[in-house]
Amino acid sequence: MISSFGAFLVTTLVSLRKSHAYARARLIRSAILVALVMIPLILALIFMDGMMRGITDKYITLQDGHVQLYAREVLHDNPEDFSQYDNRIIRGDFVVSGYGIIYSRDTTAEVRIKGVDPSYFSDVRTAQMSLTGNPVEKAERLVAITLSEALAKQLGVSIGDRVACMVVPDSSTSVVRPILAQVTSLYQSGYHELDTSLVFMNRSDALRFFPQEKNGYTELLVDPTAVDDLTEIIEEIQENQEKRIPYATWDSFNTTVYTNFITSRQVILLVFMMILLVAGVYVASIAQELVQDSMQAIALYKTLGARNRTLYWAFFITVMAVTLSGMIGGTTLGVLLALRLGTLLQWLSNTGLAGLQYYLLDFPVVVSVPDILLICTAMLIISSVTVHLSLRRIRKISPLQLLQQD
Amino acid sequence: MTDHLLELSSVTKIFASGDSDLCVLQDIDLVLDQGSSVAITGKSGSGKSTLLHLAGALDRPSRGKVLFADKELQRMNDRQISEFRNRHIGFVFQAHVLLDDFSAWENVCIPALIRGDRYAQAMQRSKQLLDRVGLSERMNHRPQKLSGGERQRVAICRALVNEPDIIIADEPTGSLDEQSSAEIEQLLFDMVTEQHRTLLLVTHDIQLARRCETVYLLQNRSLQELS
Amino acid sequence: MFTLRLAWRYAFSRSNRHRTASLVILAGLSAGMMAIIVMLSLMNSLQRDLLDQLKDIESFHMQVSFPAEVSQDLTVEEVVDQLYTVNHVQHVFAQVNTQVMIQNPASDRSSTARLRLIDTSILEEENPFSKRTVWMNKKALNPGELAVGGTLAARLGLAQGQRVGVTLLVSGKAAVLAPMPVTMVNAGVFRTGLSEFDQTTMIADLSSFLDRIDFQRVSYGLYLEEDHIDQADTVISAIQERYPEATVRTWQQINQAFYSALTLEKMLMYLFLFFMFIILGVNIKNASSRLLHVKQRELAVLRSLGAGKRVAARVFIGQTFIITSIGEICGIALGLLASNHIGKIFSWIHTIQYVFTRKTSLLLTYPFTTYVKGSEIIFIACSVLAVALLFTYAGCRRQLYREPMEMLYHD
Repeated sequence: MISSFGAFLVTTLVSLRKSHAYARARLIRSAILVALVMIPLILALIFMDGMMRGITDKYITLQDGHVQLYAREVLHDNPEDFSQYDNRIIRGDFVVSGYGIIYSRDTTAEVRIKGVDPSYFSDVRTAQMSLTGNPVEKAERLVAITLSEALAKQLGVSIGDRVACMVVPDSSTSVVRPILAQVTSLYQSGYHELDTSLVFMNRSDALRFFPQEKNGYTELLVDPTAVDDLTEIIEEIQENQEKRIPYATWDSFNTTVYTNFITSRQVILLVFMMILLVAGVYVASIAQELVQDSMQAIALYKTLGARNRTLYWAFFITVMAVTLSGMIGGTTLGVLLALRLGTLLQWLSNTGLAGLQYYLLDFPVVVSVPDILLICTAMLIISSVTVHLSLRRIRKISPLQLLQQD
Repeated sequence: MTDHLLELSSVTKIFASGDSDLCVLQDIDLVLDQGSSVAITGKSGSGKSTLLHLAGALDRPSRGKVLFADKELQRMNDRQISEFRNRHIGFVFQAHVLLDDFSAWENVCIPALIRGDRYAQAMQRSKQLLDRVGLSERMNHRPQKLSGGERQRVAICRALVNEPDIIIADEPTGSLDEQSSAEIEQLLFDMVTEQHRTLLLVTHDIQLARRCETVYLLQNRSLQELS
Repeated sequence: MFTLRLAWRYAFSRSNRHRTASLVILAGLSAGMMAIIVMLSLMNSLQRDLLDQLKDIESFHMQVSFPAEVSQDLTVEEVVDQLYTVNHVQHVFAQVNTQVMIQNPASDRSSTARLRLIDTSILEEENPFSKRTVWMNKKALNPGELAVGGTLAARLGLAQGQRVGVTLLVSGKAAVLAPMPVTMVNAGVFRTGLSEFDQTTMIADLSSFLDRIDFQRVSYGLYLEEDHIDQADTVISAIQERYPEATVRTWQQINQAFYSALTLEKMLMYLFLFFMFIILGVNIKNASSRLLHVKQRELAVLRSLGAGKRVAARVFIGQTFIITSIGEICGIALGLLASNHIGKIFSWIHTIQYVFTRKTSLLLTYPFTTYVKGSEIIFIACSVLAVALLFTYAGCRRQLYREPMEMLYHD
């Protein structure tokens, strides 16, 4: 593809010679600009992916589980016994769930009540929340509940205080009676939408209000790497049951939330593409400038017998090398900055901006290589096309231009 | 009060060059009267163009005065100097230096437009001048499409469009062949005579210089009149 | 005029292939402006629709509430009458929002819900709420009747005329809040278009519950005249003059978190899209700088012809102004055109996408509308122009103030 002359030309163009300091500086500036374009795109992508994944993980871990098995009896007393079906299953907790209204002196809140065993708060779950107190441990005869800190603040209560609940009865003819409960602990997941709607209750208490036959199910958590293999995992379990158990997977709950994520992602990627198109135009202008500055030289090379093809590839490689180095530099810097994203997000959450409650600002930063490769590939493709269009000019430069005089 | 149109009085020009200073002109005295023609010759690098630029208020002397109609040019601000150049001086450079993005007649118009003339008026005058120098059929062409001689003719028309008092020509035939040089020389002198302009000419061509009333030799930073 | 003419020529000068560079920049500016206008008009429309729904259905334009201490001195009717006398107030509705438990014996289903106790003339008079509400069955509400949101009714399997048990929290003898069960009749089902409202809310007459509900739980929802919805300072002042102890909240304050989130999203979108213009600004800087370098000799000649010192700066700033203005005008025109035909464009893209992927895209099939704000376009246009001029100045600054006369020395 490139001859020794072509290689010579590339080294001249990228100004590896000491005498071309100005030209080298110009190329370095161009690479820096490409890097500066990539950094915010990578940062935004990592932030968006991280936040969406974080929210999804919170919903899965704390609210819905990866799979809900609607076997109304307890399948295993020890939640970790489920791994015998498939070692990708982390645990399966039997829970009962219902809805109710929780109220204090003068404030009410509509909540989802999950009746769980204290063992429910395993390492996997406590990694997604901070806990104060003993979650759902019964200290007195009162019903033990765990509230979020946000809900507790709303109701004006703290650990040890009592609140009243009205739960949705199992029968529409039952009289609704208030239940007195004690707040035994507080949690904070970091996601406001979840915090204001989810309350944990001791399972044995919850079973009094939410009958097992109607409201009980097993909540399965699987290894995060096995999320795409749920059907297979469920089949493993079903094979070991007498009857098939009805089930639902995590994506069937909160479909609106997940659909919104997908839509938002598409919109953001569209905006990224527009920015990359404009960046591609900039890269094309680098090529144009390079050709323009080398016009006399190109005319001379042609006079001396160089082929269009050789000249084209030399310029193409030069410009794409500059683009690629800017892109790699920008991507690397973007990723490095993203790993420090926590500091920025912490600062953001301290600003107390009301609108931020719809976002999750505390999530593990996960660098999604496929997504980053997508952005980089798009940038390379767009740049290649625009540079190719610019370099067509090389064909039109005639050796006669070298000889033009007044 | 004198009758001189342009006067250079004890003019010295020193250029700063690295650690040392380079004195190009020293105590030069030169006067131009209305309607006269003066040539300045000398070897390359003697400072002829520097002298011309001082006379045309393109540069300022390190010492001495340049007076036009008894007004000291150094005391003028940028606006006044620009106005002076526009209305009283017409430059013809060696390399014509026309504007590539304008046609021949537009190039000629430019000084008039800078002066504030109406477009139609400037256009008419420009076309008259181009007609006079035999370029009426080339007036819509851009400089890239004109030959060297044709471009220099356009430059001469541009120098004359505002009817300046002084034409300053810096090696006007320096980049032309012999035949074109002769044509341009003749044209320049004809136009200057026709329009009663004063001519200050720099050339190293003695024969061209001798066509002027007075010829000076610039040598060793000073001017000597040649007989 | 001469400077402008020169600027125009320089903007599209063939020297150094500046014309190509200018056209590419122009195209980039047009595309950028079009993109920003379309995106923002879509966002504006979505946000406007959402906020209008919130204002009209959920939070009213303004809410007034009173602390416990003043309850003895006022009655609901008095407050309503007084608030009606405030300038620019069109409607006043006393209301209480409370969480309740609802049980439907007919379908054996129960649920939590929100009961809005309100003056039921809101359903009959013409006002922003009634304009948005579509009634499936009956409109008027008598005491003992309630109207149920469509989605909630479906979830409960509730039909018109069915009796339901509602347990609500009212002032207790021993406790501040105590549950009170009542039986009510479903008088009809409504839909407002605000899905959260329809999923969770029931409406009943306030007057039958007033004796059991503390005065401080009553808030007064106000609908204002069109011009004062977003600028309610005079209304707030008037109310506070009459009731200094009252808390007056505008719809922005009531929906502070949501409104703030929308504003934040819009700002981020602005920033991202504006980033494109920064890149174009660098392009403009490079192109101008290169052209200036090539035109140094011409500028020297212009000076010799009598042009002033600032001509060069004016010409180069002028040529950027011309390119940017043309690019922006084209972009704005394209943006407005695209905004007006956004449905067709998305439909077309969706068809092409479907051919390749055989999947329906929710985004592309959504019935988008657009809302273009003139002030936003002007702001963006001025900002882009300022950025372009700034970049040109930055690129040419050093060379513009050099003395070009040096170019004329050929010795």
